[in-house]
Amino acid sequence: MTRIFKPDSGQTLEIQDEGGSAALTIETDGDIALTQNIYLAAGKGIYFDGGTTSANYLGGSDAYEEGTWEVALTTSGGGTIAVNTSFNMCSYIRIGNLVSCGGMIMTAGSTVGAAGTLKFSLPFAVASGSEWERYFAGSCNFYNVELGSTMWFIAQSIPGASVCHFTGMVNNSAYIELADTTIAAAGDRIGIGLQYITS
Amino acid sequence: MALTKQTIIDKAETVKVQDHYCIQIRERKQILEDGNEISASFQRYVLDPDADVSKITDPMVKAQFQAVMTDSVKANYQAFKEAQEAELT
Repeated sequence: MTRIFKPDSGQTLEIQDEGGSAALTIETDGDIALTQNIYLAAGKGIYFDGGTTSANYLGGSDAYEEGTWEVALTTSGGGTIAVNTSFNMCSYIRIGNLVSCGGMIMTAGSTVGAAGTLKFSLPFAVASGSEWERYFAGSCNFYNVELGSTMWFIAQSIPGASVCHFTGMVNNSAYIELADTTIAAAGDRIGIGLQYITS
Repeated sequence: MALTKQTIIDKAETVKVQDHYCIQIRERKQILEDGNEISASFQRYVLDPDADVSKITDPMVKAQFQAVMTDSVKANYQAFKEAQEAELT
């Protein structure tokens, strides 16, 4: 059984607060106006633009989140670089599967363990892709880090991994490699700004 | 009215990426008033299959890690990393 509330055309259905002001207004053309917040139950969300699939959906526990993460520096060879625990946090905002993150950290020592490409940990794993559509490029900056002859680097998300690495801006001309002779020492700074897709 | 602060792990999500899994951990730092949360912030980290299990202090997370990170998952992750390295060079 359906109960129908049918205002005349051009009129609205209105729920008022205790002061007599409109709190919820439903217009006959379907528009809804609210003067306060919407509280969705856990796991619920919104489908946009007439869609009914995940491609148009924003909701659930992944709808919005902001926070920090503790950065770990590693090398592809399995080495690590200690990060100063007073300057090891970066921040992120996640909206749906889009992650925007960044910040700057300070190293606390040089490389321990095997050398290799420098990896900077991320707050969420990077989604994998069928082609190269998950390789997102961002910005980075370095203070005192020995970068060799390459002047310009970008931070780049790695599909399927939970880290980014740093590659030369042109033709992937170089990756930041932590060789046996360390390029980082205590007090060096590494910053990133990166947007990428997570699962 | 007593204010207290505590950190809990409120999410440990197993996520499939490529042919391996990772566990995304969310810590919730809570400010409680008489046991009721009045403020919170989040801090995250990710456990890859090659994470050092001896450094996982939370028993629930450790159990989840040991259950998910089978030899097969670890082998797939190692193959993924080697493929990544090959692509870089």
